[in-house]
Amino acid sequence: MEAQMKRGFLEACVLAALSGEESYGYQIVKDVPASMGLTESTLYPLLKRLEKAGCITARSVEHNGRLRRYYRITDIGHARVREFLDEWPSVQEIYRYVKETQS
Amino acid sequence: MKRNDFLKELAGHLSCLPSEQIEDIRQFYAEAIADRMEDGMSEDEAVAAMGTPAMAAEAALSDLPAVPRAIARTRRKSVILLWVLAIVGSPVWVPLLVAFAGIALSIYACIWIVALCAWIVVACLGVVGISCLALTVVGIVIGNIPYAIAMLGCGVGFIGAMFLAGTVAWEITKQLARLSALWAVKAVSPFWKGRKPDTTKLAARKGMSHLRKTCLAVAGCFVVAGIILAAIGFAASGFDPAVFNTNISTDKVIIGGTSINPNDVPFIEIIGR
Repeated sequence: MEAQMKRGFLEACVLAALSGEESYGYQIVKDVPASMGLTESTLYPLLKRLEKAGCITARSVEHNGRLRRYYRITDIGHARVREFLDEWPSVQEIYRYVKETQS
Repeated sequence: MKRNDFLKELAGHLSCLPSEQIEDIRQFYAEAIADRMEDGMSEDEAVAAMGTPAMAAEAALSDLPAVPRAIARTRRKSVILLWVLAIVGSPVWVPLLVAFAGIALSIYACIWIVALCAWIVVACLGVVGISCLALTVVGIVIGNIPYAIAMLGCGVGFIGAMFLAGTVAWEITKQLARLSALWAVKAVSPFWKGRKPDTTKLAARKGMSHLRKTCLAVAGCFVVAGIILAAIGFAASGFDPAVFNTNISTDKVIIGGTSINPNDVPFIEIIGR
């Protein structure tokens, strides 16, 4: 998958993983579809970027005697997800066009 | 590899970053390894799932702007190499950096010169307007009433135009301030990544304020009143274009088309100068 496109998909996936309850790093890695190949090393900069953009907030919660960072989606994040979903018709159109030229 | 070895090596690769950022990244990976072990993996398996420390460090640095990232990468390979490159390469990168700063500054200056020009136009209109009002007094003193009315009209009109131009200049200045802020962000982006300017906040302030609308309306009325007054003065003079003719130099003074003695009237000396 092209790097720029994958970045957009990953961002949408992570925001989607946080759309329900707040979640933490390992849980997000498990939740996001395996085909995205999300690992911690890709997740870390992604979370930082989303946090900086105001799409998510983070807080530390004690868990089994250690701290765990929980992330929660914000209204800006919800808006970002909607924007992503709204792109679907134009993506479909592009796929249709490419497919037609191949037949 | 054990958890602590991984974290230590990771921190070593990130030594170019501020310590709190290193700690943040360290904690993120420590949590990820601990969560995997809690999920039933062995320590070695959990650490292996993170990839190599070098890969993890590379990914954490990927969001840095171009220049610090290049420095961090070189430094990770070898601190000596970084210094050798910095010294040997200085004939190249120092002039480049100076040129870059020069270009960035000149673009910044160009932006502000446009604003300055707008304000100079405003100042000129103001000076002309005030001069016309002074000439109105001169017209009254010498008893040339059509001239006085025409000059009053010109004065009021120019001052109205000054306020109109002032509002435009203010708007231009505000837009340019935004532009220069955007430019500053762009110019430093290879070195430092700041927050993107909040476009929603800027858009919300787009609407004109009540005060500015009133100011514009008053200025417009001034211009209209000025034109009417000037027309009245023109009509009163018997539609003689010479009514607008003012010529003040060191040897002669012509007011409303007639030559007068400069010692008879106030202000002339000041304006003449």
